[in-house]
Amino acid sequence: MKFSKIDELTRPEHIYLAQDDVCYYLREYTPRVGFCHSDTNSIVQNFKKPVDRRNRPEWAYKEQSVLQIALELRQSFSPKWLRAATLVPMPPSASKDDPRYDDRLVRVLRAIRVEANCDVRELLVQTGSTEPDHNAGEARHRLTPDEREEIFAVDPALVSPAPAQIGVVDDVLTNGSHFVAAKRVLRRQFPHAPIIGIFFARRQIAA
Amino acid sequence: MAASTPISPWRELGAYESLWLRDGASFAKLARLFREHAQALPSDLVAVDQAEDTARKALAILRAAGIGRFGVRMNRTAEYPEKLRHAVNPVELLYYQGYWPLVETRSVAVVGTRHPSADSLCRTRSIVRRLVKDGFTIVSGLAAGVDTAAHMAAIEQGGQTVAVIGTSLAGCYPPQNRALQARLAAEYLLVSQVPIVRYSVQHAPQNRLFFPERNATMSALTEATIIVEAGETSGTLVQARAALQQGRKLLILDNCFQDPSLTWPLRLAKKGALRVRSYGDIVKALG
Repeated sequence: MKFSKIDELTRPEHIYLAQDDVCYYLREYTPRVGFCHSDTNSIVQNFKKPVDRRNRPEWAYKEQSVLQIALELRQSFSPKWLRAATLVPMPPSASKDDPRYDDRLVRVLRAIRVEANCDVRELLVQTGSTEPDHNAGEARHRLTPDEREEIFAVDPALVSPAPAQIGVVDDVLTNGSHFVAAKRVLRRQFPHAPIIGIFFARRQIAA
Repeated sequence: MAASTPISPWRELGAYESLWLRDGASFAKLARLFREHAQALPSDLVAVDQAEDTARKALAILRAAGIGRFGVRMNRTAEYPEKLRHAVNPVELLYYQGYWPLVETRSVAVVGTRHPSADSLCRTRSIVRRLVKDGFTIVSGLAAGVDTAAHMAAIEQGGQTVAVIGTSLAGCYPPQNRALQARLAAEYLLVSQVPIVRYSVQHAPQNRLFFPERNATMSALTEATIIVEAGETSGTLVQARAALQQGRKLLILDNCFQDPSLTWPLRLAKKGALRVRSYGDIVKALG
């Protein structure tokens, strides 16, 4: 499977992305009020299952989605780039001391590392928890890149050695505010490393 | 160093549209071109500047027609349905508006003449109502007559419907279906394989050829095609042949067999089409 990149056709659906933001995605996720089943939608929904369902049978679907996303991403990277790059998971909305903390992206990257032996670092941390965007609904405020930048920080314990290339990995690209904030914070710490966004799916606005 | 060589949908759209601007371009010729260049993307076959220039033209045409959001699906990307490859001349790239995941639902094409009898319209509505109740998405071609009745009945029944149209996204035929087309694009799914720039620069007689071409795609997207009523030279028969070629079920309503002026029902039945006397026959065929 090949990555697609955000370009003139799709950038208007991700309002915070500028022309120099390089973002790759594999699939397209189409939210819809009411019925909207698709293979991609069900993988994304399983992946985002909240951690309070850990003891329910449906949790197995979440585990499967972690492995599938890891497999599809790994097979789509250029092996040469993967050897030289540092993969950074986007920090989840709930911080590590929050019972809602979800390490799903970290587990995807660990699964990639097992096979590809690449550098995976949780370089970005979020200071405090926020409401997940997918729970925010239309009426509630979603953080802008400026607001997100204030609560993102680089973990000083992990900055060395400086990465040569950085891929910030997230499950779904929505308005782009997470990526833009992550890029700014990482750029301050690593001014010379190219930083790209890697997404399992981009959110598509159907109508 | 790049993380991969990513596909730019914008550039592919422009390259594909550029291929269509070549003299004598057709779905058959383009399908042959991509068979001969088995690993190629459209952008591998067209200069970058030309692709981007044509993409801008296509976008300007859509904007002028008031089209806001639209998407593309292309071969070799994750959301391209493999079932489209069952067509003799599979489309490499197509356009859509609305909810793409509807192509992943169980779906049946309900098609027929633009000038149906009152009985045929009644049958169309009845079959669609029951298919919707049984969870099927109704696919049709947005033509006058049976197609329009099929889309409308699906909507009225609270079901899902997909139109595979024979114009570009910027066009509409028949004009009286403009509002229905807009509604399908906003709330359901509208699919067009017709190249936007070529459609805008050539004349109506050439553009009419796109109508039968889209029937093969409609068949490929669905599990079965149901023909309600069709004359001897109807475009619907293009879809009938495509369905049989693609290994899809072809269901022909009994009334077509009872019309002594028609030879096609028996001819297609000999090739594998099923004669449908009741909704139960449809259920049995769909399994």
